[in-house]
Amino acid sequence: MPSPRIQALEKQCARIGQSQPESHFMKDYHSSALTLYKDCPQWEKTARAMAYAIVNQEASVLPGDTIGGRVYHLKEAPVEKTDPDLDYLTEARAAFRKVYPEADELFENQLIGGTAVGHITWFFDRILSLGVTGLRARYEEALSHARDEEAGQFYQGVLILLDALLEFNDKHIEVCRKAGNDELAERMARVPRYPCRTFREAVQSFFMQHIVVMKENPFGGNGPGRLDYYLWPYLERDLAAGRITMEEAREIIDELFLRIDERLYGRDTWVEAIVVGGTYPNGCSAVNPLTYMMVESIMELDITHPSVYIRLPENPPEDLLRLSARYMTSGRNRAQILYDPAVIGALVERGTPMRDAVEYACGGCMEVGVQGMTSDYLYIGYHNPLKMLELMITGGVCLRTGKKIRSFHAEKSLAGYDNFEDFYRDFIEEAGRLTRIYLHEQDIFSERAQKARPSYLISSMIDDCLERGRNMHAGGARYHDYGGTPIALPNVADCLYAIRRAVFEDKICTADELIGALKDDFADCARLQKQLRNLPKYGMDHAEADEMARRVAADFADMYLSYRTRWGGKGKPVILTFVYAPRAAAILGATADGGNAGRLISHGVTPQSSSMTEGITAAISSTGRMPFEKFAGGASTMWDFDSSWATVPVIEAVLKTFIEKGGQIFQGNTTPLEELLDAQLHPEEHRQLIVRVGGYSARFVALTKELQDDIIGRMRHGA
Amino acid sequence: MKERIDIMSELTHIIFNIQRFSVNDGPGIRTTVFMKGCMLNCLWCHNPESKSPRPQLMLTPRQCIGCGECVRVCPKALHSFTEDGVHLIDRGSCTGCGTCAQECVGALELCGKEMAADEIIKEVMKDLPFYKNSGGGMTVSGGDPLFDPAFTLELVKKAKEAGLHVCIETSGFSKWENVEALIPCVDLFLWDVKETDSARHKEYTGVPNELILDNLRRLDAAGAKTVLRCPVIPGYNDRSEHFAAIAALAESLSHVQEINVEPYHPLGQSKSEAIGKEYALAGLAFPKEEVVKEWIAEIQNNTRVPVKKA
Repeated sequence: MPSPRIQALEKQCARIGQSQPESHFMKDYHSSALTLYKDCPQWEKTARAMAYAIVNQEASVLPGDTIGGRVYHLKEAPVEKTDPDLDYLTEARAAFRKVYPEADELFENQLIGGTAVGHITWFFDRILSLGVTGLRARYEEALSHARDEEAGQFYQGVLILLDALLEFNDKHIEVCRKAGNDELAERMARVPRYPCRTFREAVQSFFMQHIVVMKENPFGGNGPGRLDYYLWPYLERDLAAGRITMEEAREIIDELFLRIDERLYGRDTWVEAIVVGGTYPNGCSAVNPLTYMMVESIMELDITHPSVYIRLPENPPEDLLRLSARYMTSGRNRAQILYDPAVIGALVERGTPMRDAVEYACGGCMEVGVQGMTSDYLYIGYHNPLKMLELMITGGVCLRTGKKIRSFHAEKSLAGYDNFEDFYRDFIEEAGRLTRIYLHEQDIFSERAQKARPSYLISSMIDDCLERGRNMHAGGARYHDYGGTPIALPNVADCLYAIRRAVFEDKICTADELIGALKDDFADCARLQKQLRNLPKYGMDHAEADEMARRVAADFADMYLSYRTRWGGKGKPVILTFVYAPRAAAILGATADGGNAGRLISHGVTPQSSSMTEGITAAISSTGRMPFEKFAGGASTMWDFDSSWATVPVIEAVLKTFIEKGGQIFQGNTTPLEELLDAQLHPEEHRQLIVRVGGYSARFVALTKELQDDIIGRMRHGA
Repeated sequence: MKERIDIMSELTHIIFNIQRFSVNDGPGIRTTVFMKGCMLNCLWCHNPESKSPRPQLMLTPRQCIGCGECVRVCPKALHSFTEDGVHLIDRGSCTGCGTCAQECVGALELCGKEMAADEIIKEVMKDLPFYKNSGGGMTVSGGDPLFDPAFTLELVKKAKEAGLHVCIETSGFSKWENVEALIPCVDLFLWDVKETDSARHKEYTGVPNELILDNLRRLDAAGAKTVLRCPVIPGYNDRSEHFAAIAALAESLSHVQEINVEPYHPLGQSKSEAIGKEYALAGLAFPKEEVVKEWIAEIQNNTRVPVKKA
């Protein structure tokens, strides 16, 4: 149970969260650009307008606050007129369409996705250890010998934003004093201006820079990352000096989490991830008392933000495994467990040196990126290989509309192939072409962002922006990677395996018969449909079916990994399904594995629910054959557990075996099915029910009916 | 030597299911091997398809699409459809050859497959990492493993050689020698105590319980660990005297690890229908959760051995 003070704060968080004041941040940003700074060059205009909007926010401190700073994200005042110089989308969209006139058809058929920004973590610890003043000094120094004009402009932009951060902070000091909160006033006078001396100061310094950075980069998916790792040295010192107790520290963490939630209250698809535990650069476990404390804290609070994820180091301590299992069973479906050797291994395979790879965190859901070294197209969205396969089978005809999709290049249908390998090769080739278009789209957007969204403040805490004199979009970030998702890979694998067996090997049907059945959604083809369903599937621990899944996943991963971004980064496959299952289902026809049109797709690399007939151990064994070493952006698995057996020891054993088999990311639900069904009928009685949707957790009753059904329909492995 | 191995591997038995991820048949995560053939004939049998030692054809009418392939391929022409589309099987003449099930897309299934111990062990070993991490292993169930004691002995020996934790789930109705032979290769016996009153035991299961209880006492005297598995069927054995007798039995023994209360579930009904048999307890429903808790409490009041729901 949280302390009485925290319980009261929890109520306050819900109250303020639900009735947030309107933010005029974006309005100020644009209007100041159009008026005050209209004559500035673009680099300076973007900096000064952003600084203006930051400083112009209200400084709000409530009685009882021990952490200062309140900004909100849910209600933005309408922006009457926007400055085109700050618009990073319109022009890029037009540029993309100029290169790819068939863009609409590609989007509609999910052959490529759009673009999303954010999903990164930054080195906020620089401000903790140097203070804004110290960080500022480094940029002043760099400015004095900038290598070129662009570098000089970048350094000046950073200085403008760092000053704005301090100015906004300083507005709070007066407000605190007026409210009689001298202790907080003292602390805010000290940090983030100067280096932190205590745990309390470190939390304050972290929070102030966090809320300002999140205003500059208001994208769900950006988050603190390894908060326990960077805060622990301060707590350790305080504990040694007897300045604080663990109970006091816990209350500070509880308050911090509530304040993170209050800004985003109820907007559950916005994910701010804290990734605890993990590994030091020398390979040792970085698990510390704050690791446990942060998990315990989020388990007890009735909030959906922040998302707290556990990084298990190699040979994880027994009690951390136990805590992970307990987090799964009684963490209200918020747990996500990452296994370091599998994730770090994939980053190293991508070409990231070990010393950087160990610093990984999740931006948002589970997009793996190195903290403080990655640019912010780390997660761009999804495209739909299962739709591509549909078009490959039909020769480019959409099964839903009967229309020929010209932007999908297929010379012939499946009936034109006399062997499986040729069909497979052509499919992969076309999927690869589409993937390159999708990634090229990001290059076009990134080029625009470099000028229209220079992100000075967050760039100031991303390596190697300082050394290179460039913002993160302009080649400043050490890793300029784009992470995207080819969804439904398990479905694609099952379909390809069914095609190979049914059409080419066992000759259950001809290609034309299969195409005909798919067009009719298996009406009058019940026997063929059952025969296709009865073929082995990925998830049954069947060597051949699993090999197909491994092959398909590896080939799609390579499409990403072989792309070189405009600053020499790579495409990174991020295998998750998030909220996409209903959207994908809406455009899919019947599938070659015997699925009807519109059937929901699988989650991440988790086998299809209908394929997991041999139990969860078989399904995990199959999953273990996936090429995790290629999933440099992370590959998620979703395991929904029947509450009748989902005890801590069983889940601990399942999790332990999962990681021994090389699995990367483990998440799931343990809420009884009956409770979910009842919540659909009586939402008012289940307001506090939180479920894992896929990469994030949300209040069940706030989800769409389609997403609720997606969760309800998942295999629960009744024992 | 080679010849001997060949002879050893000649033993086979009809297995009707190898269920991975069993968490209710002994400690940890286990794989349960279900053998066909049973000495008892319990009214409430959960696995009616396990009673006969022979392979049996099972029909799930819901899954039948009426394609008529079974009619076409059956060598003895035993399948037919009525005008209303009801699928009929002349079961009396069925030899369980399985030809129809091979063609069928889901409704017909041949229950029971002849397997050698090595084959079974190979299947069981697939989940070894899960056993290692959970303290689990293999459970032999049925039917009744003691229906074919020679085969079961070979199976558990091979399991032990492979380093597996082994449980046997049995009614215990067998010659003592058969039970005794298993002791070195079995870590835990899941021993059924279906009814403590012998006359009733005979009425419900077809056999009296003296031999079963005698074997249990001798097993205990030999130091073997047991879990008493007590199916509780409302209206049959949910009597206070029976609960008291279970507790007393556990108290009189030295190596009982746990008492499991297994509340009645009617899942045997659909399976009875699938093999064309009538279900004796048709209409009996799941007992309520509170009632089960009362049963557990009643037993627990009279013994120090932990009583749990299985």
